[in-house]
Amino acid sequence: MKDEKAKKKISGKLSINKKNIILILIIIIILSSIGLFFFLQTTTEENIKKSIFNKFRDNKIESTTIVADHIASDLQSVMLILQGIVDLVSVQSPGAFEEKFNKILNEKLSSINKITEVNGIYFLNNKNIIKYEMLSQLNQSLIGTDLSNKNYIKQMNQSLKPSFSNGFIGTDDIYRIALIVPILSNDSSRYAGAVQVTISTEKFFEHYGNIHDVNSQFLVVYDKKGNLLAVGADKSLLGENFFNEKVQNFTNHNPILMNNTVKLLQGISGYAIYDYGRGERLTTTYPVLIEGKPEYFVQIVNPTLSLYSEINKVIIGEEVKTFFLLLGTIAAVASLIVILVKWNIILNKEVKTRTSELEESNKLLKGTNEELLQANEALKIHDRMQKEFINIASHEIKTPVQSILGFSQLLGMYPEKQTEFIDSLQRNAYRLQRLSNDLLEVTKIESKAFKLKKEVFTLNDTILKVVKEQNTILENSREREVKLILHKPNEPIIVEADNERIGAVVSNLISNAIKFTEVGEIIINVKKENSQYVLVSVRDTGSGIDQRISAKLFSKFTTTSFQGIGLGLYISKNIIKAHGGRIWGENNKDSRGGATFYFRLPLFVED
Amino acid sequence: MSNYAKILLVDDDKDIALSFKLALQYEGFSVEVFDSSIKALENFRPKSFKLALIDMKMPEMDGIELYKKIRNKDELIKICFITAYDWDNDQVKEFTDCFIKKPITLEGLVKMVKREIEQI
Repeated sequence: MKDEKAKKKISGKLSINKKNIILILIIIIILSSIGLFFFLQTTTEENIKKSIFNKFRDNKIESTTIVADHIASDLQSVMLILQGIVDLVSVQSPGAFEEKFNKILNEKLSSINKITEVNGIYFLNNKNIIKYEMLSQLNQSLIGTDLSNKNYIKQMNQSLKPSFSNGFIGTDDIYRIALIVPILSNDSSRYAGAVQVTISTEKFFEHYGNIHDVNSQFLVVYDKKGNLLAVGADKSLLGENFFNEKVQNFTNHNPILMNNTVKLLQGISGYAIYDYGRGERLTTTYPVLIEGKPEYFVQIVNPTLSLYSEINKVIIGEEVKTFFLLLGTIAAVASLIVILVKWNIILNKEVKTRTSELEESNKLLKGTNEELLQANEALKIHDRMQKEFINIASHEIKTPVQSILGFSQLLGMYPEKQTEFIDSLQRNAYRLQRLSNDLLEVTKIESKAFKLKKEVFTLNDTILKVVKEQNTILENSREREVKLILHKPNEPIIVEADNERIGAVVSNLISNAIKFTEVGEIIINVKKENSQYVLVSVRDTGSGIDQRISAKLFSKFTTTSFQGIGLGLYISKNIIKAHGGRIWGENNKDSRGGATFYFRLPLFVED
Repeated sequence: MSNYAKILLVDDDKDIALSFKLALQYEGFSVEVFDSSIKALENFRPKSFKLALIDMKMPEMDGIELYKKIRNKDELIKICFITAYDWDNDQVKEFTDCFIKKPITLEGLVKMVKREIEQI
């Protein structure tokens, strides 16, 4: 028993653990789904960001290219005008047809000024001294200024080709670049002078983009040395060299920017993302190519903050949408799980109910089956008993009939034995009568038509009468040495009963006793048991009740005798029962043996 | 001749035994009666009876048992069963084809006995 309990406890714990494990698994699944979802979400966002950013970057690269081309095209236009002037000078030296020349020159100047503002067009002699000028408005005259020290002049003198200068501080303290075209002698071998314009870098480059506000997209332009011709980051840096301490301090020596700029100055375009302490920037670069040669270098710097805030706005909107989608999905899955769990519980209950019902019906079936088997067995027994009864009954009927038939015929053959034959006839007729009475009684009992004819009478008299009859039969047969002894009570015992049938019961008990007793005595005792009952007993010294039939002594067709049909005790029991009494029999325990049969009847009570 | 044949009659019902005996004697047969198998067997003398009429249902020893015992002692004797039973005769047919079913009129009994003896 203890072991079983312990087992139950363990299995209980196990089942709880199982439930916990399932619960934990569900939580893990949900959490990992959410985790996976957010991972995917983040990855997707990153991809979106990257994609948007790349588009933005490509866009910027393209616009940088356009800006650089635009600058190149404008500078080239100026250069072409200067070339046109040089061509004019080659045909006619300045000074000749001055009036007409000046008119043309003026037109050229206004054309240049339409592109970008210049102070004027200056003519240099072969010693690089300004000899002639066409000024815009009221600008200072530079005639007589010696430019031979200027690097771009020196280079131009060597190459004898039109050139774009690096940045320099002009005579008016304005940072400038110069565009110069040499004038060659007629055989093109000798330097005869040059025509030049100088352009204020600040004024020129502000046409192409912001060069003032560091916090939004701005433009940076370098010359070939890395001097800053235009810079949106800080005006004070104008004219400074990128590689100088001042600029490098400003950019915090940012290596990415450095690398980007170095490459740009080599003519390689590209982009860079970096942060030198003022927020992340995207920088796109492109050289200003004139006739395929890089002359200046454009850098467009874009703070990415605004871009990202735009991206984030979009992504947050998407995030909110997906979050609600996820929430909805989780709610749907959760309710699905709840429904499934409930369904499972209901199913389990149903299964349990069905199982117990099945078990019940199985038990019932087993029971019914057993009952059926028993009933079948009972039927078989009943059937056998019926057949047996028919045999016994037919034997019992035919036997006296045979005698009656025989003796009635013998009367004619042996007239002298008439008296003897008539006795035999009578005896067999009685026997037949008793038999038919018994059969009739049984039929009544079986068909519930058994009714007592009750009357008030003295039991003593009835019993005495029966004993006398039995004694007569006993004496006539002269076969047995059996004595009938009646112990009469001193007082009359009054009962309200079926006189004839009570007599039949007593008669049956006595004749049974005689049947099974060869030698000895049969004592009939009648006495009041108490104020309510009388007890009648018939005690013999015969063979006793056969063990084989003692259990069904009072059932139909129970007999071990070769005379009789086995109905006597059955009928007696039914008669006594109908009177509210009881009948029973038992073997005697003393040395003489035999059996005693008793019946108890209620006494008559006057109202 | 046949009327003087000796017949053994065994029946525990004394009235039947007596009535059969008287009827057969009236026809001239010599009849020896016993009311129990045991007594009949004790007094049985082989070759002294032409015919035995044996009741089937008797206490102590039934008719079939008695048949076997008699047959052991006497191979020639014709044995008939007398029965008041209603059962079919399959279980005793292997022994004899002669059955006297009760109730039977005495004329019927005599007629049957004569026929059985003539067949011997």
